Order: sequence, then structure tokens, then C-alpha cells
Amino acid sequence: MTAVNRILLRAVLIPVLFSLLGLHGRKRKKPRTRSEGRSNEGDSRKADEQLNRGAVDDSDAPADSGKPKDEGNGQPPPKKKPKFEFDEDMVDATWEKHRPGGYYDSQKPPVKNNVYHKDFTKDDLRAALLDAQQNGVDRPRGVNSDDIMRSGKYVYWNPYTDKPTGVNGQTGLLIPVAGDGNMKTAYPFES
Amino acid sequence: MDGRRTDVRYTPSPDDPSWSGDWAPATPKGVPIGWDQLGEDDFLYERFRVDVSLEVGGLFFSRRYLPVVDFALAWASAPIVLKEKPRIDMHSSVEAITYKAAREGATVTVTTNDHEGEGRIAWTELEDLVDTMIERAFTILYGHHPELRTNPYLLDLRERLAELGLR
Repeated sequence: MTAVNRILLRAVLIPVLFSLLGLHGRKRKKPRTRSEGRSNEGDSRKADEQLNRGAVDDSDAPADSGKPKDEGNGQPPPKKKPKFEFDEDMVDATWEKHRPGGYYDSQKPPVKNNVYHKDFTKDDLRAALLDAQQNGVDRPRGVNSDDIMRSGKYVYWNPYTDKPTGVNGQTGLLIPVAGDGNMKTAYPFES
Repeated sequence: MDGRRTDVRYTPSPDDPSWSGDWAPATPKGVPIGWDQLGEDDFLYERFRVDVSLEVGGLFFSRRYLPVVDFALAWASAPIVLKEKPRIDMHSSVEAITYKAAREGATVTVTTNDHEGEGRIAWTELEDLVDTMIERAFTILYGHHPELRTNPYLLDLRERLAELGLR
């Protein structure tokens, strides 16, 4: 084979052969869903949008070990600042007001929407408050406005387990928090 | 509206010792403090609780054992917010009662999460009602404890309310 023929072979014939065999250019992989065989490009876009909104259901995510996750630098992430402070005296005072047979329950007539359910114990209250310090949801003073005259906020806690906190079937707690960050009480609440 | 009554009355809660003439201010842990040291926490959460008799358009939305300042301030937002928004929810700071007011034109509808029915009043009646709530809160406080007239928190509060056009 002459030099000219070799050049022609490399420059023309080989690319033509590659093109005919479908091997030319970057190999494309068409994304597909596993179950239905349809393109999942739209699904990916939705997932990205959900991630950006923080709205992904992670129920299928690997189980949490309970340990703080490594952020990649060998250090656990810093613990979140609690949404409010409380002490045992406050737990005692809150329990006495809202427990079955307590202040609100002994009113005539009882103010039932302030009374804890009989299965919601003082230990449950303490555990709920500890959890709410990290996982409760901040609520402004007014639902449809900022309260213009009172400082502080509310923290709403609800684990959505259907376990009642209040005798009227409430499953959450509303925790008023003063301007200094101390919780003042916690009453049964359904949002 | 239609001649139905709208009014608010406060009666000191018998379970609250802070109304007593010989009551002396103290922290929740019992450490004595001066009258001028009583601050927002004391007025919103701890002291000066009243039984509220509230009638709106002929319906009663009364409630017992609410801190009088907290109750009045919850309502203080209503005439201001309802000028721009159609509704407002006003939570108590101490228990599960939420008063809800909704405005449609010149009429305001009041409901709660714990009372039957809805009270309907004119916009001007709401403004008068809230003024009365605030004025009577200060009246009952100063009436039982004249020492509170110089309390810095209350003085500042009156000033802020006045700036907002409230009593």
C-alpha cells in the first residue's frame, strides 16, 4: 500500500466505516426508568426540583445510624442551636397545668382543649420538648401577620404518629417561646 | 351591628395571687424584685390573669385565666392588620385559644377554635372594641397596683400603642 492509499484509508474509509456501524462520536445512553422503560429525564428534573425545595421523601434512604454524619472533613456537623430553652421546673409547671386532673381539667367546666391525653405521660412531654428543641417548626405570633406588639414566637411540634397529645384528639404541641428564648408552656395543638 | 352587644370586661382571676393588695413582685423562682423590674414575660405569661367576658355581636367568646396584657395585645394587631389583609389569627401566649377575625368590606366576623358560632360586627365596632380592651387592661392593672404606673415596660407599651393609633 502506497503512502497515499494509507492516508486515504485513515482519513476517509475508516470514519465512513465507523459511521455506518454506529460507532462514530460519543456514545449516548438514553436514560430510562427501571420499571416502565420510559425516559426518566422528566423524573430527574422533578427530583432536582424537590431537592432544591428540600421536599424529597427519604423514607427509602439508608437507615440513620443515629451518629452525626461526617461532613467530609472528618468532623461531625455542628449541633443545631436549640429552638428554645427549658428546665425541669418548666416541665413541672407545664405538666401541672395541662395534665389530666390538673388546672385546666379541674375548671368548671373543664377547658378540655388544654388537657393532655391520658396516655401522654410526663415522660412523653419531656421527650417531646427535647425533640422539639431540634425538630419543632418555628411559627410567628400571628398566622397571617407578624404580631406587632409581642416578642417571642411559637414552636409547633408534631411527629405525625397519630399518638394523641390532647383529649380532643390533638397530636401535636404548641410551645410559646418568650423573647429571651425560654419556653413558657406547651399545650396540645393540632395544626 | 343590629343593636347586638359588643363589649369586653375583665375580672381578676381568683386563682392569681398577683391581684392581691399584699402581693409583692418576685421572679418565678421567688426572688423578690421591684415593681419597675416586671417585664414582658411577667405580663404576657406569668401575672395579672383575668377572666375575660367578651361579647361580639351578641355572641360570647369568654375565657378564664388569661394574662390581661397578653389578651389585649393579641387583639391590638387586628385593626391594623385587617386594613391590609382579609384575616388574622390571634393566639393566646399561654393556652390553646385562638381568636380569628376576618374582614369583608365593612363587616368583621369573629370566631374562635373553642366556641360555637360567629360574631359579626361593623369595622368601626372592632376598632372601638380593641381600644376598650387596651384601655381596660391598663385600668385594671393601675387600679389594683398603682405602683405599675411607672413600670418601664408598660410605659413603653403605651407609647408604642399610641404611635400605632391605639389607646
